[in-house]
Amino acid sequence: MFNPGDTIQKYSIIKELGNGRFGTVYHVHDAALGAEKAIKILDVADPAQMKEILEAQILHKCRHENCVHINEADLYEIGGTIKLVIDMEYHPAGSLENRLIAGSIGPAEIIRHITHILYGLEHAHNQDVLHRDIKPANILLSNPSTKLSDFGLATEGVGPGTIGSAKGYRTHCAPEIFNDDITSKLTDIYAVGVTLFRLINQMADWDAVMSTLNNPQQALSKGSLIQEIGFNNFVPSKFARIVRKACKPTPDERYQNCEEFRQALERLTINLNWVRISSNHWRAEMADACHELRLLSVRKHKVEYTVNRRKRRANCKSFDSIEDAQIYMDETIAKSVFS
Amino acid sequence: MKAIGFNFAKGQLRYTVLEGTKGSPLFQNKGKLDISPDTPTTDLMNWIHSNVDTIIKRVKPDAIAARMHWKITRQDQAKNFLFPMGILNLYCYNENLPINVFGTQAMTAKKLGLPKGAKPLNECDSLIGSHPPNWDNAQRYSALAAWMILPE
Ligand SMILES: Nc1ncnc2c1ncn2[C@@H]1O[C@H](COP(=O)(O)OP(=O)(O)O)[C@@H](O)[C@H]1O
Ligand SMILES: [Mg+2]
Repeated sequence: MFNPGDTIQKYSIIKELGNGRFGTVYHVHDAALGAEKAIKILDVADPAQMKEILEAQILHKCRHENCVHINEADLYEIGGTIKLVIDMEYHPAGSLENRLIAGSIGPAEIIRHITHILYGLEHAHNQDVLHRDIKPANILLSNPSTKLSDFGLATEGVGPGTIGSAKGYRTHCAPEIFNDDITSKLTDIYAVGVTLFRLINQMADWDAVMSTLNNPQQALSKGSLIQEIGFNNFVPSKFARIVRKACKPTPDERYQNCEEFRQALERLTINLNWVRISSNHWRAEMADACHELRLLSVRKHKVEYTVNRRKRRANCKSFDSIEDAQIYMDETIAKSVFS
Repeated sequence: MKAIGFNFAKGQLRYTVLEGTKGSPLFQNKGKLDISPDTPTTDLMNWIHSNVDTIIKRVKPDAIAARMHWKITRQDQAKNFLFPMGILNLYCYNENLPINVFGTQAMTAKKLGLPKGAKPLNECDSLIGSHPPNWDNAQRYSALAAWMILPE
């Protein structure tokens, strides 16, 4: 553990960005280049084997606009132990996980992030690399491109169905990982599907969602996770269909490669880019007009639709129960996102 | 030699990969990729770049060809037909790959080594074969472009 102000050779720690099972990532200042970087510091378990260096080598091999950029990797002796330092470009906007917690993400932005990740993953797959740990916390935001990161569980030299022992984030694992201990390109596709599922449902607190399941492990090994959690009413059916296909329990029924998956997203045409402001207020700011939907509960429960702040009467409606009003509002959104 | 031919249209990209020679072209591979026709120009340029990059890195062709549309009369045609040529040329410059661009009229029977008077589009299937789905004229033009750069 390092604290702000500590130095490791040319790096001085600005702050900790995150820490996982294997290491800690810090925002640092690199005195040699006079630049800000992100470094991941990993303990080297066995200096004779240096298994940890694989993450750096795979990152280097997977150089792509949509994979986090590695500058270099080096070994440092710190406090008598050998540490591996992976030096990466720093992305101040942080991870997609943080973005999801900070506020809802509209459909155009969701499509951008997921297609970018699929380009990055397609590139990795073309190099015979499996990522094996795709989830919002391992996706970094940057403009204009979104980057796949954390290749800590990645593996190289894959055939059609490589057996993998390392398991990624459990809730993003396809059923065959639990049942047959198989990781493959199709288990990566499944994990992107779960990521997309969380985004379109605006599920910021994923642990809370998982805790509503009676038997989460059974849902995971049966491949019925998505079905059991279900889609919120505001999710357009075209989005839901894409997630269901990416997360089919049977690998053969999923998108068979990243290109097929991203093409399904790239073919969508956005009609209204609805962004959730709060559970009873949505806004779609389009080039020519600003559409808004509000659920107002004064005497009755009223859903008010405005375009440039003027009421559009045909879409305004009153209800006796708040549930009915909520359903009407959510369905209005679901139906108008895509053309 | 492995040759790839591209043909761009509104909201889509076609490519066909051929090997062999002008006299006996061998079909290898083809693809059709789509994007929402409403995509803004800047995003469309990035889409073309990303897909050209992905395809070329995967196919690893020795040479690139593209079909060019000369009759551009509207702004959206420029964006859909002409701008992709700029992206493709810059890509080939950066990757140090040879590129040739052909107008439809330039892909003649003579240049393809076909008998005099033959219509290239009609002869395409007999030499290259038919490869459904989406084996239409837009796809055949990408094949003809690749065929144009095969060795004699
Ligand atoms: N290059 C970077 N720029 C900015 N933040 C980063 C960067 N790399 C990692 N992070 C942050 O640190 C967290 C952990 O990094 P990660 O590489 O996923 O390591 P771990 O193996 O510990 O999960 C990420 O979720 C992200 O929030
Ligand atoms: Mg991580």
